[in-house]
Amino acid sequence: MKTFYLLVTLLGFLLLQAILAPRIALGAISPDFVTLLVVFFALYRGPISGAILGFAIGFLQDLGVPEMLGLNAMVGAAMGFLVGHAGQKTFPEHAAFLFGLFFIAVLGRDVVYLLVYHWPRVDSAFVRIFMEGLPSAVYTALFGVLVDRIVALFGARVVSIGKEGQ
Amino acid sequence: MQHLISSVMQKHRDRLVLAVLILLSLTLLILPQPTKLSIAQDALNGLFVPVERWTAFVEDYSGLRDENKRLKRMVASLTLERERLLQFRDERERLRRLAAFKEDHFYRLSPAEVIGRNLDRLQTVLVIDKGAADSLAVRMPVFSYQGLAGRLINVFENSAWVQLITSKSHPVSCVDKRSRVVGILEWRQRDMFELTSISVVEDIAVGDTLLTSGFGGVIPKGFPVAVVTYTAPESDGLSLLVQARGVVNFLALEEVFVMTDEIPWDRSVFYEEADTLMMRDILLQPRGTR
Repeated sequence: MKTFYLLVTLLGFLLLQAILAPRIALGAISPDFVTLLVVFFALYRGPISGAILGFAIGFLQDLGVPEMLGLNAMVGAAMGFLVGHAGQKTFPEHAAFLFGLFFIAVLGRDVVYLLVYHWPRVDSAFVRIFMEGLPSAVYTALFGVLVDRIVALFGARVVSIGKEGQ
Repeated sequence: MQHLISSVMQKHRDRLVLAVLILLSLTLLILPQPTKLSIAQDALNGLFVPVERWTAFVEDYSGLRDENKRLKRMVASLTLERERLLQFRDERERLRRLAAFKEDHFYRLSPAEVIGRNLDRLQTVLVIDKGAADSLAVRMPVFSYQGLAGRLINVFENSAWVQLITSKSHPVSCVDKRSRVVGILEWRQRDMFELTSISVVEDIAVGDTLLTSGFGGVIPKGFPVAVVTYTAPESDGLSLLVQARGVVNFLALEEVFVMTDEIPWDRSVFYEEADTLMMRDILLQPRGTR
C-alpha cells in the first residue's frame, strides 16, 4: 500500500510540474515541483532514499537535454542526500525551517546547474541565478510550506524525521 | 578483513550510495554525445511521449473554443493579405525572369503542436506531435508565427524534439535587415542574444531587425530572429557589442511550423488553390457550426 501511495505522490508532483507550473509561471519564474518532491521525500525517508530519488528524477530531466546527460542526476542525488541529513539533524516540522530548506535546495540546485551549463560564461549564469533562480526559489519554498500545511490540516504529516536515521 | 569492510559499509552506507550515484552521473556526463542521445531517445520514447500526449489533450480541450475564434479572425485577414501578396509575387517573378535571377523558392511548412516541455524549468527543449511518419528529419528548422524558434535535434516515429535557439549550442547566422551586416547571433540568457563578430565600424542601430542569413544552408534566409536593443563599442576598441531581444515568445509556444521542403514559386500554385478552397470553407461555415 505504501508503494502505491508513493507512486501516486510521484505521479502527482510530475503532473503538477508538467501542467500547473507553466500556468502559474510569472515569465521565467515558476515553482519547481520536482525539487519539492525530492526534498519532501528526502525529509520523509532519509538521505539514501532522497539521493536515489534525486538521481532518478534528475535523470528524467536530463533526458530532455541529452547534451548534459548526468548533470541534473548528480545535482539531484547530492540535494536529496544533504536534505535527508538536514532533516535528521534538525526540526523539519517548523515552517520557517521548511521554507529555508526548500529555498536553499532550489537555489543550490540552480546555482550548480547554471554554473556548469553556462561555463565558462559565468556572467550569463549569474544573471539567470538572480533573475530566475532566486525568485523561483522563493516561489517554490512558499508552495512547499503551503503543501505541508494543507496536508497537516488533514491530520497527516508529509515531513517526519527520516526513517533511515533511526 | 571482510568483517571490517562489512562494518564500514554498514556505517557509511549513505555515503557509499551517494558516491555510486555521483560516479554514475559523472560517467553519463563524459559519455560521447551520440551515446547520450541514443540513451535519451530510447528512454524518452518509452516514458514521456504517452504521458505528454494525454496531458496535452486535456490542456488543448479547454482552450479549443477560444483558439478557434482567434484562428478564424486570423484566417480572414490573412486571406486578404494573401491575395495582395500573390499579385506582388507574380510581378516579382516577372521582374526576376527579366533580370535573369536564380529561381527562388517557397517553403513547405508542416504545422505541429507542442505536446510537452522538458521537466527541467531551466531548459529549452520542446516535444512536438509530429515525427518521422510526417517526413520530419533532424536539423530541420522550426518556426513560430513570429519567427525562427529552433531546429529539430531528435526525431522519433510520431514525435520530435525541438531545440530552441535559446540555447548555448544553437548559434544562428543573421543579417541586419536594414544595413545587411552579417554576424553570428548567440544566446546569452532568457530571451536576450548577442550578435558577435561585428566590427566597430559596421552600421548596426537599436531597433534594427535581425533576419536569418541563409548561410550554412540549413536555415533559409529572411526569417526574423531578434531586434537590436543595445549597441556599444567593446573595450578592445575593435568590435561592437550588439545585444538583441528574440522576437519569439519562447515561454508561450503552443504551435510551431517545421520547414520540411522547398518548392519553386511557380509550383506553389497547387497549394494556392487547395488553401484558398479550404479557407473559403472555414470562413463560410454557418455560425452555429463554428
